[in-house]
Amino acid sequence: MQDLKFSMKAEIYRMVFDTSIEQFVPEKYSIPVSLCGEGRDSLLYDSTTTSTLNIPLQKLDTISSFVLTTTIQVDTNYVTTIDTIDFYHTNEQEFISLECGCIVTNSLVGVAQTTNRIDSVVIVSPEVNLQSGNNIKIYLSQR
Amino acid sequence: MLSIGNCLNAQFSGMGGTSNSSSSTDEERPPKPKVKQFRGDVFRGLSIHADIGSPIISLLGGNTRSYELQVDVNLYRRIFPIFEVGYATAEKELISQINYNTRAPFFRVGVNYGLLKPFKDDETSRNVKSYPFVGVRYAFSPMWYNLENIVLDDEYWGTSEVLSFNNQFAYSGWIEVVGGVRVDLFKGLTMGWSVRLKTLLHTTAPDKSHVWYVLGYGKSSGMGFMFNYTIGYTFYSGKDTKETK
Repeated sequence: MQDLKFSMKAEIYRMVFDTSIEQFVPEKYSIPVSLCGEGRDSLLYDSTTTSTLNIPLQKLDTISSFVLTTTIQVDTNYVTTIDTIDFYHTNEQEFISLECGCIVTNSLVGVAQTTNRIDSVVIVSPEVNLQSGNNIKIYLSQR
Repeated sequence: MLSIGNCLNAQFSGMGGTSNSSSSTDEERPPKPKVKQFRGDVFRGLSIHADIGSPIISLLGGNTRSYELQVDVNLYRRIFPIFEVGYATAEKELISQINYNTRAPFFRVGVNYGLLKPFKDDETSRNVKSYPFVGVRYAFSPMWYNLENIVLDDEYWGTSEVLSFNNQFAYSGWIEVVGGVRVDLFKGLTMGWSVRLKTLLHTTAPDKSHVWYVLGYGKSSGMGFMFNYTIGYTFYSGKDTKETK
């Protein structure tokens, strides 16, 4: 039986100062990240340099917790920081067909995170399904 | 070329096949007047039949049970509008141990066309009580079905759960082409055989595989074939019983 897998899409941003408008504006931030589900051994990303993440939410639980490890350059040093993000969501199970089996679509209702490197996490599109684009934006601080 | 033309002329004249001579043959044999088949009383009888073929086949084993009744009206001894109603159940373990079960009624409306002419060429009436027929049906089934024992694995998180989707509704419709024979055994006691070729036209189920077995139709995955053996009683209209063979 095939299994249709949806995953939440996340983009990593940092705030940079735009001198032309004299304001901080978000900019996509491609950095080495490691990501794994809390309590899981298997890494979803292993020091992968990227600004976009595909994050599998739990199908059978309504809280999905992840450990995000980021490495950024501060001055001349590389600093690795560990954060935890908890996603609160609802799950809807739907039988598609005998071949494809059952799919689960998630709907994000909230998010909580530590703020070691993460500044904030914003839900931009709560429905996690085949059609949805980017679901969340993760803003990192550069302290 | 000239010699071939002469040759052909000689051949036709030898057959006596000029156009003048053929028209004189037509005049000798005037076309038969067409016997009007739809005349007299419109209503000629009503039949009620029960399908005994499907229950017998069910007793031999299998995953389905089907029971159905047929009511048809005899018009001009040639046209037989028919209504069929049935009730069926189906249960099967599908791939990946998914259990499918359903029970629901189904309905068919259509018409049979008798292949025997009620009036012979000499205008005498034929007592059409046993006849071969062809027909068409539109059939539909509003059905509720259960899909059970669906295993949902969350591979990354290492969790698993067995799910059931119960009381799912689907409305499915199909057409049938029917051919068969109706035989009067004894004073209105009638029986019939028919074969049906079916094709599913529509279903409200999200995917055909949701409704593995459409009641009254069969497996939704392809064309259906069905054999009916029916037995019942025909109430002939008074006039029809007096007609001679």
